Amino acid sequence: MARESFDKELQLLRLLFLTAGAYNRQQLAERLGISVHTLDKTIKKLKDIQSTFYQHVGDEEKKEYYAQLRYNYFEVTDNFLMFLYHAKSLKDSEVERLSHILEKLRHQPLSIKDLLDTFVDTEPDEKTIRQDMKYLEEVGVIKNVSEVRPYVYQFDGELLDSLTDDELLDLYDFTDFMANTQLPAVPGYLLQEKVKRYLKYRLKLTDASAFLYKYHFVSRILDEYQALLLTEAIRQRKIVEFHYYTPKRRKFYDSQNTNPAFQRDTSGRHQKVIPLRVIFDHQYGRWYLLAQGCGNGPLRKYRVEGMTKLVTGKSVTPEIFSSLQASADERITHSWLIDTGKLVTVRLRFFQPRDTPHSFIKERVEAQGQWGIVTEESRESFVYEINVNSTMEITPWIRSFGSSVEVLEPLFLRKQFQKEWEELLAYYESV
Amino acid sequence: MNLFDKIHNYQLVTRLDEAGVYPVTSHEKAWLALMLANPSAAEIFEPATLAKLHRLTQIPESESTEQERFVEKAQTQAKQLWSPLVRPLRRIILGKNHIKITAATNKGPVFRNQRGVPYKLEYSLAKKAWYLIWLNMSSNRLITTPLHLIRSVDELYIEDVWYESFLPTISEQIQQRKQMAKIMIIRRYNAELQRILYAFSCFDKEVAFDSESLVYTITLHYLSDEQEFILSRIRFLGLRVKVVENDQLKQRMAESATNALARYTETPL
Repeated sequence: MARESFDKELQLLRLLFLTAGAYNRQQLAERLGISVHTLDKTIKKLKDIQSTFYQHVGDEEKKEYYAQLRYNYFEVTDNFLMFLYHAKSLKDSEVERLSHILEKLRHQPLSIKDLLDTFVDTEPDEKTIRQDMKYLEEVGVIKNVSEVRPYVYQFDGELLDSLTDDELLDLYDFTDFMANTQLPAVPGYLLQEKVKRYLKYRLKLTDASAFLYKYHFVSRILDEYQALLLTEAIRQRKIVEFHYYTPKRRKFYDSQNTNPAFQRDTSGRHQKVIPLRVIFDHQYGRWYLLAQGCGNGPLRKYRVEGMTKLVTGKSVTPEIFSSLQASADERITHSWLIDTGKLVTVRLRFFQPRDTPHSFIKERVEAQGQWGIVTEESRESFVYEINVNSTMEITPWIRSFGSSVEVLEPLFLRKQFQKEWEELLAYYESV
Repeated sequence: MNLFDKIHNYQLVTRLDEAGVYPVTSHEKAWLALMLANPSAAEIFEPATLAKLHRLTQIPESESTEQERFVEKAQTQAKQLWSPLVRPLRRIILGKNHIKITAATNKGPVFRNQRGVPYKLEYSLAKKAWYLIWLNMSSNRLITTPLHLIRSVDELYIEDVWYESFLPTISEQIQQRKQMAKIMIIRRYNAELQRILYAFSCFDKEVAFDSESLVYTITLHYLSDEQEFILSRIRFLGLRVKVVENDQLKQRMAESATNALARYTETPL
């Protein structure tokens, strides 16, 4: 089976989603490092998939290729970036064959020979069918139900078929909720889509959605593909190689030239590292990789979104790997996100809200304050203390509390806050 | 696990859908098995269903997924993932019926036996809490009630058409609540564009880029009850962004800055 990379499609979707309408075609193509022609072709492909898959998308929306990429959570709860995962290209004949096989086996168990007989117009050769069956068995959608030859295969539909209508609805809700709130999510969204279609088929339910998700970083699924490949590489202690585009660069991708005559240096830097941990940051909804440079290199941090052309290489010995991983774990124990800087004690005074018995500030600090602890408490305020690797990553969180918080320690952070609020006041002083 | 597997190809899925065939792959089952290991699964499913699902998702070989695959940072702790009210309320919504509800508010008072049209169940990922969005029939207002404040709910059976007759009122009220704000990225922070856009990626938005001045402007569309969260995100980004359109937000930012600054004019206690 040909290896297909979706780097270009992923980067394009991300760019369309994040910058929602900011760039014209020329600018988009430039940022992706591809030609306008390639951009148009890629967009056309994505639009085709989207409209085949989501038939409810109106003509008006099809015109604006990024319209569906808007985060319209009050009306749409489907993760509309999901359609990318249906993008694997297949020949028409293969679509025909695979669907024929599954339809027949859904009806009754059959041997390969019996199955061949069910093809009317164009009978594929036995070898092709055997390959198809092998694949379908591998992905777990059919199973061999005979003990002796000739093998008889059956569609494995027990999971959905054996559930009552009521149980099916619970399964739908469960997959919906877990896919939207837990990691990993993509297999969950795929399953949910299936259960949804099945609900429609069995219960004639056209709209089964009753849930909405607020402040959901839907784009996190775009990097899950790489995140899962990386965790797999970590499990096997394998070195990985990729091209890396730092997020501060203007370019996020580069076309791959297959013709060696036109080979040129890509602007992404080539990296070869030992992957140690995959980190998800809930503050921004982004993925990171923590890795060790090969040949005694330093500990490195990468944003998964900047990785393209990821491949795995040789394995590292278990001893070396676990010692590297243990030291990396130690260095991020006190990271608010992934900072491995010097340990600082941060002390903050939070002020309780006035005119309400509901202490939502305390609730929020307890829920989001990670390993920090409340040391002093009165009716008006409380002191929260945390040891953290440098103050950079925790600062936005502290600042988000506005005037409900005062930085007590360290002194430099206190001064920094004072200066920042002065400057911020200047932004709005004329109001 | 290959997420771009050919079994998920869009043409194949459409074809199988027409034939009523819904193949569930072993990867999907493995994911389900992993999620079923979460203690909240026991709150969501009836014990018999849970047992059945455990049996049906058993993966024969070593394909079972490791628990600690990812390190999660800056996560909001959830007291519990599920609420026992989600299941009955979800079914009332599906059945297009009304509710008789007794609920308290965050400020204290309890309102008894109010009749309403349940609309949606909302989960906030920032607060890790469930809410019921419903139309109060006596005040004709759309209300968002945290499920933990609900004391009791009863189902009142009505005709579907009657339930549906309230939907235009609900969507009208949602429309009325829509607000708009323009937020400019201060040019010297343009290098942090990606990070800033990620911070706003959970909102309905458009972005404009002026190639002459190299200024990015984000137009946010949100509902009025989200204002506090938007403000916390703007403060979160600090000097990087500035509200350029929406007087209420500007006013609040000016207040925040004034009050915060006042805390730093004296030496700490």
